[in-house]
Amino acid sequence: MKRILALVLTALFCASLCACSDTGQADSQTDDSAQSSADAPEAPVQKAEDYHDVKAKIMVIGKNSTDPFTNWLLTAAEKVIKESYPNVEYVVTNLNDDPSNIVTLLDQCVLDGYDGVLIQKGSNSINSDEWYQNATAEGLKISAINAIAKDGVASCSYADDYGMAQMMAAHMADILPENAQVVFFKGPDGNQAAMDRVDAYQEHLFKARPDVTVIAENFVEGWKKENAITLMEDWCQKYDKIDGIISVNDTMALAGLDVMKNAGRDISSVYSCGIDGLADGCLSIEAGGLTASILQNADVMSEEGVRLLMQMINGDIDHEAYIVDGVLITPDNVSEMIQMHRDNGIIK
Amino acid sequence: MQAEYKLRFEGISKVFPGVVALDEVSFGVHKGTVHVLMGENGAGKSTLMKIINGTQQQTAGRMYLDGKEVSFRSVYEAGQHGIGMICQELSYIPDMTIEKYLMLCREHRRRVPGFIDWPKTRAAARALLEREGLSYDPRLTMREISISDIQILEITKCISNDNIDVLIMDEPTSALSNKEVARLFDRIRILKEKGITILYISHKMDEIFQIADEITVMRDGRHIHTAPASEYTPESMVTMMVGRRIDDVYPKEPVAFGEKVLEVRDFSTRYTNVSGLNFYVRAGEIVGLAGLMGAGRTETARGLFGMDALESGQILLDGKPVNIRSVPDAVRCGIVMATEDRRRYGMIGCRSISENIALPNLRKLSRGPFVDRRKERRHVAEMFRRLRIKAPSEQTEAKTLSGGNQQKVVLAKWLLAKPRVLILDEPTRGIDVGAKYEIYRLMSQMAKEGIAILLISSELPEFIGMCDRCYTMYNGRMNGELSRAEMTQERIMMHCAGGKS
Amino acid sequence: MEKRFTDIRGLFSQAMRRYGIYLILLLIVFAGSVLSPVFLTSKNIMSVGRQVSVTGILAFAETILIIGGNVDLSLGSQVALSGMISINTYLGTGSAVLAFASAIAVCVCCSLFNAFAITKLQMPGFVATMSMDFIARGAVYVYCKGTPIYQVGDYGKISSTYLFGVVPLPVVFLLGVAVLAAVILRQTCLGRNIYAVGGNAEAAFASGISVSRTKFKAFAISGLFTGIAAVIQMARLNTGMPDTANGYHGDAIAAAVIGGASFTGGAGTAAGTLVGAFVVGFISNILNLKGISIYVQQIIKGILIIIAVSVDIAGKNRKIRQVAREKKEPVEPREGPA
Repeated sequence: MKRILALVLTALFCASLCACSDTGQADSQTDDSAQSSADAPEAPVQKAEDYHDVKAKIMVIGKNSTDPFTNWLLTAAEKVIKESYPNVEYVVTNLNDDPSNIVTLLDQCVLDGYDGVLIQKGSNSINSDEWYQNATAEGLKISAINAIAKDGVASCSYADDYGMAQMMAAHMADILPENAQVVFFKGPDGNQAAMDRVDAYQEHLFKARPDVTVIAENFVEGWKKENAITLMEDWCQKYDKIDGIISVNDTMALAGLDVMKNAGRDISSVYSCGIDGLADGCLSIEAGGLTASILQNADVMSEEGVRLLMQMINGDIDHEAYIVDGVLITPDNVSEMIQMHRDNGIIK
Repeated sequence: MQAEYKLRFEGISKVFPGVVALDEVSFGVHKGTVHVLMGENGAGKSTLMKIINGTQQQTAGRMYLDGKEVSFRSVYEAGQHGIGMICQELSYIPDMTIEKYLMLCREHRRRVPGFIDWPKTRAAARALLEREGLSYDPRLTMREISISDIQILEITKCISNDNIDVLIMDEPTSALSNKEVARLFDRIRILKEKGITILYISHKMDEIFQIADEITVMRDGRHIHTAPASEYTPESMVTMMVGRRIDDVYPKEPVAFGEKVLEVRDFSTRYTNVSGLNFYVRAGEIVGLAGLMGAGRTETARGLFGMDALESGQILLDGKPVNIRSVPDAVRCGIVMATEDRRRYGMIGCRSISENIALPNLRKLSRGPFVDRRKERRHVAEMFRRLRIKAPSEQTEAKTLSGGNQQKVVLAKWLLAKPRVLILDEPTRGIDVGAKYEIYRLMSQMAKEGIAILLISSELPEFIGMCDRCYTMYNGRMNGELSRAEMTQERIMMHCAGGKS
Repeated sequence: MEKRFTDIRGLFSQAMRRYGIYLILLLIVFAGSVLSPVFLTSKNIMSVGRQVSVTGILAFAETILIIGGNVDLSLGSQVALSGMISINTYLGTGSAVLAFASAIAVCVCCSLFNAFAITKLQMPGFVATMSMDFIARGAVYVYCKGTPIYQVGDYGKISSTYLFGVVPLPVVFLLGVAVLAAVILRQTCLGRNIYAVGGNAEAAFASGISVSRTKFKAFAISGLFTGIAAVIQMARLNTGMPDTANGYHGDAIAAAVIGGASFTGGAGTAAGTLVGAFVVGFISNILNLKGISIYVQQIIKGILIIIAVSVDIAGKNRKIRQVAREKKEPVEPREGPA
């Protein structure tokens, strides 16, 4: 009896799925060129005003719902769409930290007749490249933010992790005192962004300044502040003299500074650095805590990502890449950055 | 009939560090007989059976099957030699359906290896049920049927295995009604005629004399005596088992009855067949409630105790109607119950004896939200003394106690609650003779103190020995009331079976 | 014939059963002092105490639930949700007391809703609390739009202050919760009821205990503890992080189980849980002092937890066998027939 019921319900379910799906797609775009990596921009960038009247339906997909940088990206994306592309219908959602949700959402977009997707897609893999290629073949335009696209069909707007870290490393190589003893927060292992940043630090800071000793280092799962706090607390037990906190992002550096302050150590003489230029990092620089950071401008990243998507939807470009430059933040220019965060509503 | 020994033991000993469970046990079991093993708890009967069926191995001595020396390392190996056992502790899989359970390990296989032919298996299970005259719906799960049904199925499952040569049955009738016991004995006789040897462990004297060809008595791990059943009398057997004379198995003392403490009018409980009951119990009386399985005795008790919902009717305490909708209500009125399945409803096995005794009495033993440890210790110690509970200490885990001591703990906790009415549902099931006597003694004592006792039991001798009056139930209705003088086993049985006399 | 079990082997296994977990703690402390010179200093121990304070307090919440036959998989999300609300309360009122009160109120609500789902809606605890986990996590996002609260004023002082200049405030809270849990479990009628309901709910019912009322009270206590943990967590971060405490219920349950709480219900102690929390904390601390990669640490932590729990269970089985010998009736150990 139960089995018959199950069969009937399954049949009804399948029937309703068939009834609801759209038939056919709007112009499907065949992609002849099989480029393996996106090119740097050469052609002049078209201005947003040109696309003011474009009508489209897009989905904005973040990595998860709680990561601060993701939030900055999504907030900025929404702002850009509302201000510069008022005829665009959009929906914001997230992957819940599970990359396998990408294919579900892409399928849904194709079925529901979306024109484009702005996605913070995380690491590349053979599988995900295929997903984007399939979706694009169905007519969906894809623009990735905060990630490099290597599938040959999607545009991307990203900050060069290696480049940013190199900038930071060079600055720290300049200002770290002689024979400094530092601790090193390496971010999560296996994460491409983290690994690129670590490589840049190794090459341009530690190799360039062989007198600087890394007395303790470790990975920090999920870039999480609480994990960095635990590490730093234990390191403070072991080492009395810590001259510098080298970190591949702001949050972990701030964790280190907090711990040292609570342990009663003098942090004004500690050299610390991070990357991303998030609100808490900027506030700390202003307050004399964090020494320096590199702005990963999510405003620009989202803006360009949306622009590329609109260009793709309008048929003007096939797929392109935009690299966002990092900007060194020091006590001299930090007030500008704080103002930007205030404008975004992230700092009240 | 000089038959060969099917099974022979020579100097079997089983020693655990510090304890000797079996001490040089030697005797023989003739082929094709029903050989009964008698002895108190701890006599070593179960240990011996476990050695035969492969669960344990002896530390010394030899066992011979059909004249050949054997030693089994596993139940499976014993099974291959034709030995099967029905355990005292019913182990079953609650969510398995009856048909799957009956055919467990004997399912019909498909030609493709690893697959089971379910239709054939199910048909075989149904055929088995039909052959035995059992009317269970084979799609019911084990969880949905009662303990006695499970016992019947367990027996059916074991008996239907045609490869069995030697069948060991450990207390197989503890949950069965007399009619079912009779049917079981019929089946045993059929097996005997087929040449199967049966080893039977039981406490029930009357059953043993019905079925036994030979009886072996064990005590304290030692073999005391083996002889044909005809050579024993109940008294000689008990003497050998216990090592002392028990003259008064039922220590009944005369008590002056008081007023009606509990009265029940037009009582029926929801979801059961119990309806229209009218009965009463006076202070100091021990009133029995007799009936077969399914007659509704336990359901009545549960309704009185607040465990099940009432459909209609009145419960009167000291003449005044009371509203009992939950167990706390019942306890507050002074109605308490020692349930049938003491492991399941009677005690918290993993907690100490002291905690178990204190549990329903915490209000009495507490100061505000805190437990008054000193008061608790005092009362628990008193209960230990009064009920003669045997345990290493009050902090011992309840589940490690023997059946008799567990039952004493259950009684202790209710005694402490100073009840007006005490309902006892099968209080001496699975308890050895010595402990049973103590429980009867307690019952008498409590009656003397003016407690009204309602006794539910399946052992007719208990009614005749302990009860002042006895009600009989049949199919959810009360159909008889017998005074102490009128009580005979036949008359009680007749009423329980539905007839009138 | 009845022999009392008095030889050395018996005493040893009795000791193992009751004090096994303390033995493990001692072994770890010994290993730590050998492997690192700074391990056995009061500063380090206090630091570890602060590190385990949040998951430790959550472990006490789980302990009370596990003893009562329940579990709560939503504690981490409750910490995040109530923590964010608590920070805003503090920013609005300037009162630390109100900060605690608001966190506790939110957690108690979530926990009571869990209790309602389990008792009245008859949902299995696992399912009900897992659903609450999703709900609470989602609620955090809706509440703060995923944006952290960067400026929290003096909130962080709840974590960074020292009592008598030596004991970090979080450790004071941890010990306070430990004492409270111990008193509840050992000295109160409610504690007895929780043990009974967890050990055998049907028998507790047949003894006149209200099973559902007991569960409600147990969940309420869990909510109280979780609220306290939430404030300490946010104070430690010195930021309102909405994505914090992910999976903390796992660490909490691990500490409780190492400390002797059993999922069969009716077993567990406050002292054991405190030891369990420190066992996990010390392992992490020692491995950090030795500079071992956190991913390797996770593997080692998992293995050591398995060892700790197995030793504990083996001690209990030995006890079952010992008692069985005295009864002269062989009994199968808990893991089933050999």
